[in-house]
Amino acid sequence: MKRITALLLTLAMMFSLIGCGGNNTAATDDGGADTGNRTAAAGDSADGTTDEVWADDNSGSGEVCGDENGKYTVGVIIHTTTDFLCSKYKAYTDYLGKAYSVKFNYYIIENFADETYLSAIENLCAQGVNAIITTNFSGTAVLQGLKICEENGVYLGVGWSQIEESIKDQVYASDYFVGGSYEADYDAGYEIITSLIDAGCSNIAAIGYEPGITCHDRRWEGMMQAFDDHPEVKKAGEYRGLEFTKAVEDFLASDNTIDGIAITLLGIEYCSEPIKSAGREGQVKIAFCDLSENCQESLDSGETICAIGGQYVDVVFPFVLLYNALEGNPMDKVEVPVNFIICKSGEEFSDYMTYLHSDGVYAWTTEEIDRLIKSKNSEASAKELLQMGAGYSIEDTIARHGE
Amino acid sequence: MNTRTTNLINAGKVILLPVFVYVLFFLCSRGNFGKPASMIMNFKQTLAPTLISYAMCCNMLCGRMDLSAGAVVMLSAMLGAKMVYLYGIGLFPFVLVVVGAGLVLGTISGMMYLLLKVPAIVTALGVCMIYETLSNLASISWVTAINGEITTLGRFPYCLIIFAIMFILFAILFNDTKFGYHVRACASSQQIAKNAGVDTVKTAFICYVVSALFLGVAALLKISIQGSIDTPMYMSSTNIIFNCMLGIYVGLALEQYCNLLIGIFVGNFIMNMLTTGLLSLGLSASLQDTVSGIFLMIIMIFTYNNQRVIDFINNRKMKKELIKANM
Repeated sequence: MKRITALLLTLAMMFSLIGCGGNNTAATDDGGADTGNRTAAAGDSADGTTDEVWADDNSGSGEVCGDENGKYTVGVIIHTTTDFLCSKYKAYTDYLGKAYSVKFNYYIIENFADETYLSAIENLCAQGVNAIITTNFSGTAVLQGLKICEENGVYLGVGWSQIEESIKDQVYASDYFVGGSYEADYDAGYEIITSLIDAGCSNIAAIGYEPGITCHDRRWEGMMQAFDDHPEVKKAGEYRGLEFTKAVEDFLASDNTIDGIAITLLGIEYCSEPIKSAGREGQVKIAFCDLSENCQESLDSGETICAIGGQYVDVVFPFVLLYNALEGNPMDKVEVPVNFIICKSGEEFSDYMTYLHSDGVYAWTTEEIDRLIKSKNSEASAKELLQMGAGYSIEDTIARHGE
Repeated sequence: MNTRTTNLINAGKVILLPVFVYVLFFLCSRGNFGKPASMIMNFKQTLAPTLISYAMCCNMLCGRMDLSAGAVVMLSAMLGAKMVYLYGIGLFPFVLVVVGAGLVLGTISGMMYLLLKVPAIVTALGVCMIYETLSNLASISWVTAINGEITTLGRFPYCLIIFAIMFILFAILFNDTKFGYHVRACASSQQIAKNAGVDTVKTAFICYVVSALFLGVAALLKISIQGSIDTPMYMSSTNIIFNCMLGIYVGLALEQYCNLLIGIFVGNFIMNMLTTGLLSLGLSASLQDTVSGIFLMIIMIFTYNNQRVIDFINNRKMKKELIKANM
C-alpha cells in the first residue's frame, strides 16, 4: 500500500513539473486574463509572443540568444526572461545579437542580493564571456563586481540602475566599466501619485518593493515627494515589502475610504483581484510602474489611471557601449537617463504596443543603431546615446518609423 | 457553576479578546477602523491563514517546526496558476492541480523528514529552499496572476463553504479519531506515547499528510482570494507562516477556554485585525511588525498569566481579611 501511495505521489509530482516546463502547447498572451477556451493543440502556438516566451532554445528563447556562433559573448544578469518586460528585453538582445554577431548568455538570478550578483558575475566570467550587462545591480556593489571583471578581463555595463554618487569616481576609473543606463524612476514615482490626484483620488495607499533595489528606491522617493508636495491628499499608509497583494487587501480592509493605490510594480496583477474581492470595483483607481499584458483592458475600463514602463529599450545603451569597447573603440563613459513611456489611456497603450512592443517592433532598428557603432560610423559619440535616451517616446518612434 | 454556565463564561472570555482588539483600534483610529465591509474583508483574509495554522498545528504540537509550509503553499498555487497560463485549464482541473500539488509536496516534505532522520527544522529549511527555487523556475514574473472564473472559489460563499468543510474535517480528525489522540499523546511526551504503544513514526507521517492536504486547500483559497501569487525569494515563503504560527500560539493560550480549533481561528482573526488596525493608524510597515510583536506578547502574557494574577489578588484579599479577623 505504501509503495503504491509513494508511486502515485511521485507520478503526480512528475506530471505537475512536466506541465510546468511544457513548451509545445500554446499559451495565451494575456497573462491568464481570459481563462476560457484557450487550450491549443500541442505544437500550435497562439502567437509570436508565445513563441518568444515559451518556445524551445532553437528560436533563441532559451538561456542563450542572438548569434549562437557570434564573435563576442555577452552575459546578461537578470531576474527573469519570461514576463512582459523581460521577454521583450530578451527579444531585443536576440535581434541585436543576430545583427552584430553577438551571442547573449542569460544568467537568471532568483533574488537581488549583492552576493547573488557577484556570484553571477564570477560564474559568467568563468564561462568565458567577453562582457556582462547587469540589470538592477545595486548601486554600491558595482565596485566588487568590477574587481571580478578586471581580474578576468571582462567589460561591464549596467542597466536599469544608476551608480551611487559616492563611488562613481572609482567606478569610472576602471578600464572595464563602459557605462550604463537608468530610467527616470524618481519622476515615474512622482507621476503615479500626481496622476491619481489628477484623477480625483484623495486617499492614496503607497506600496513599494522592499528597500534595496535602486530603481524601486527611487520610485518610492518620487512617490513620497509627491505626497509632500500635495498635503491636501491623504496618504492612507505605506508598505514596503514583498507581500504586495496582502498589503493591498490590508489597506482595503483597514480603510474603506481609500480611492487610490500607487504601487512601484505590476499594479494590475497585485491590485485588481483584491479590489474586486473587497467589493470596491470601480471605486479604487490604480497607478503603477511596469507595463503588462493586462494594461489594455484595465486602462480602457478606467481602473488604471497611469501605467508606466517601456524600459526594455534600456539594453541598447549598455550594448552599444560594450560593443564599441569590444571592437576596440570605446566611447566616453556615460550613464544614459532613459525616458519611461507613460500610458494614461487605452489608446496610448495601444500605440505603445503597435510601435514599440509588438513582435518584431523595436524602438531603434539596427540601421539606426549602426550610426552609434564606431566601426561603422567614426563620428559616433556618447552624446547621441544621451539624446536617444532623452528623446525616447511613442511620438518619437512614430516619427522615425511612421505608420 | 454548572457546565453550561462555565461554557458561557469561557465563550465570553474567548470573544472578549477580539472585541478588545476591535474596540482598541476603533477608538485609536477615531472610527476609521472596523467598518462592517472591512470586518468582512478581515474575516475573508483569515480563512487561508487559519487553514495553514491547522496544517501546521499537529506538527507543532509534536515539536516539529515545518518551515516549508509556506513554500508548499506558494509552489502549489504557482503550479496551478502556471497551468492556467499555459493551458487555460478550467476550474476543476485547477483545483485538482493546486490541492494535488500541495498534497504531494507536503507529503514529500514529511517523507524527507522521516527518511533523513535529521531535526525537522533542518529538513524543513532544506525543503523550503528547494521549493522556493522550483517556484522561481515556475514563475512568470514577480507575480503570477489569475483572474476571471478561475478565482470563483475565492468569493463568498464558496470560500466559506470550503473553509467550513476543512474546519469540520480537522475537528473530526483532531477530536474524534485515533490519530487525534495519538497526536495529543505525542504532544505531551513522545517517549511516554511510544512506551504506551503509539507508533510515533506513523503518527508523524500522518501529521505530514494531513498537513499537506490542508496546505493544498489553503493554497487554493489563497490564490483564489488574492488572484495572484508572489514569486518567493530570500525565504519570503516563511513570512506566510509566521503569522499563522502566532495564530496557533494564541489558540493554545485560549485552549483552556475553548476548543483549540476555535482558538486558532480567533488567533488568526486577531492577527489580521492587528495588521489592518495598525495600518489604519498610519504606522509604517517596519513599525507595524514591531508593534504587532509587542501587542502579541502582551496578549500572550495576559492570557497565560491571568489565573496567576487573579490568584495573587485573591491571596492578598484573603491575607487582609485574615489580618482583620485576627486584630
